[in-house]
Amino acid sequence: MTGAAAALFALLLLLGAVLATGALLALQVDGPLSSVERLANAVLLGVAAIGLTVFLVGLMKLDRLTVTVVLAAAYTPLLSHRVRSWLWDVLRSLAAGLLAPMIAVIAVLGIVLVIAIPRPTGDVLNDAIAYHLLGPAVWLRAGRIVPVLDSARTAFPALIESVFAAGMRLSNDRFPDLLGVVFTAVFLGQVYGFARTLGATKGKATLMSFLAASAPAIMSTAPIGLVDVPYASFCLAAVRLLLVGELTTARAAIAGTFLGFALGVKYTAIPLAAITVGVLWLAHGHRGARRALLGRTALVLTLMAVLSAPFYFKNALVLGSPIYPPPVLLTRWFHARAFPIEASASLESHLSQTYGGLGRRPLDLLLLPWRYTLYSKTFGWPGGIGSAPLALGVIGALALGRRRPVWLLLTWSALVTLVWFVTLQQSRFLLHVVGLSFAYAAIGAMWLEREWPRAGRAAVALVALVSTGYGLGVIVHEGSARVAAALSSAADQRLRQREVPYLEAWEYLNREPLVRRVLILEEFAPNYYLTKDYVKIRGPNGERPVPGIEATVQALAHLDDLGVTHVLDVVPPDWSLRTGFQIASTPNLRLVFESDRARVYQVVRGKAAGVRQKRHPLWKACAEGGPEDASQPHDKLDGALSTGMGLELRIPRSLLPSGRWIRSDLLPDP
Amino acid sequence: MRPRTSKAWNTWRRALALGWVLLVLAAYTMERLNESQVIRSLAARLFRR
Repeated sequence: MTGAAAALFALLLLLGAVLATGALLALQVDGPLSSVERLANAVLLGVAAIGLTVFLVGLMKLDRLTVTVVLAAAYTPLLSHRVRSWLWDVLRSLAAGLLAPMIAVIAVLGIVLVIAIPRPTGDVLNDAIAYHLLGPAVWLRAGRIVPVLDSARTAFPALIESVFAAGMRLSNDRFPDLLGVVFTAVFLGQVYGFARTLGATKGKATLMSFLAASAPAIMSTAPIGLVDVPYASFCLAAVRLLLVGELTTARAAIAGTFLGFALGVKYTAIPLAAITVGVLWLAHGHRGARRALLGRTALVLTLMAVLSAPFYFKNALVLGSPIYPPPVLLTRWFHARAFPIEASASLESHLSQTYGGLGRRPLDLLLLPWRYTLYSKTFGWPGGIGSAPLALGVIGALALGRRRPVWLLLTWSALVTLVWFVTLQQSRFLLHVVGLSFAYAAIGAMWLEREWPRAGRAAVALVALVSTGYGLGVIVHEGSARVAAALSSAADQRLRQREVPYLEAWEYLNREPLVRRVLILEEFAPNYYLTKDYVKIRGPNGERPVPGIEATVQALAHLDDLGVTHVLDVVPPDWSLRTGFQIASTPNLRLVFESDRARVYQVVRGKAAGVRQKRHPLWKACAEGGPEDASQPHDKLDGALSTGMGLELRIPRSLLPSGRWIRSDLLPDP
Repeated sequence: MRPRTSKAWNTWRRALALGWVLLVLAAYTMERLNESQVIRSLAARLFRR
């Protein structure tokens, strides 16, 4: 529980800094905005400003002192009377007007907060474990933001991950999940704000906020270290300022800031930003306004570019491509480090297959709202978004469609959805459109109740009952193990046993003082759980982090060069194409830990190993395709194996574990 | 053919809207029943009794 308390304390500390900095920026927005929208803007701006600062400073140094100084600096706006009174007004108005009606939403957030308390769990199929949390964990060990070459996706724009790293530096690895709950609260506030902006009553806006809070597709992503909810919030905040209401220079500036921050969270913001600016011109592009609009568009674009530039420049300078891992198209111009072109092609094909669940034909596009609502299990989130967006949102959109802001929001939603449809179909990548659809649903519910008071009210009540009943049931059911883990250490251990692959091996490696640097042979082993230095020779997306070493046999020949003290060999996950362990004990690899699915070998150096430890020429032979090029004479090569490509490689005795084998599929492609 | 009065059109509109809501609700409920292991196992237990 001390870990949870430390993480909660760090979160409170961060929230204070976030509100102080955020208020300074958010109070610049003029024109009508509700208190909840102002607070949402303040939180988003504050988090992003701190995240960007931590990222920039962290490129040089990321230790406790640096993070503390950044947070202390973020508190300084509170010295201004204007900031304090603005913040006080917003918080007071919210407490007076919304705290009581939103009690159900707050209760759901309370449950999700408890779900977020246990330490992160999951395998490499969980994006949080694979890269959102892995990046910060490695940066903190390195003491600065460094490229993690064995996991290319850690190079995605890292605005939110930088905040994760700051919180983890101040507390522990529970922090990111807890921060996720704050983002979810902001998102639900935005749903409320949009509903009110479109004309919904307080009651209906609150109801829709509650319906969104009981949507597993939204709430299940909240406490697991993903960045989709904050991304959706940045997008909604930008759209709210750009497309609804009069566009002043101040609003354009803050909207550009939001879009810049969205670009700092996900690459998918690139088409989204283009669509948003395009729709902005549809909104205000009539002749009289074009001149003023041109200036404001330039402001939006400039801020977008400036605020997102650090992430893309860093990638270009350090990794060779501004978008990393690079799409195949970019490989013509950029030569990415540690990520071959074949890996780009393979990753694109994999993403296209994985995120194409609802089909890509025109008919699939027409049926998308229906299928997205009903077949949410396609995306792995049973219960999805509930029935309200489809049942009531469609009616609301039709009822309001003639109003200019609604028409623009619908156009924006349609274009964003179209891009989502042709690129990556994953439900959590579309939460910004889902958020808007809840706002339309509020209007739909009001229309139905007004037009047909008794039947309409009953229908709305049924929709709310079925959606919240099932959705909350799923959230509680799915989160029950984590709730138990938050309350009992025995349940926590059971959860980790079940959900952390190779847990005993990680615990052994983390505990043993002799372990300093580990060679991890399996690319799908979730090395997030290792708290010590490591090296992988292959990454899960086709990464080749160590130049010249691509296969297990080469790595074993270079244990000294790699500087490892231990080697971790595991049975790959069930969905992997391979099975079984890769190596066995040799004179220079002593088995020191063994479980059903994991083995740890200690590297024995010097005379104790009984072999001479020096760079072995085998790696050259392997890299060049066969023994013909090896400098080692054939008579000293004792073992042989097939590469499966018509070639046979001979393996020196010192590398053959007890006269056994090294598997052919672990050799480099000829 | 009778001219479409606004009253008749309003009735149709309301009926269409209500029908749409009920259709979505029914489809959503059926799909959730189909998807939920908990509900299915409960139903199976009841059926065996």
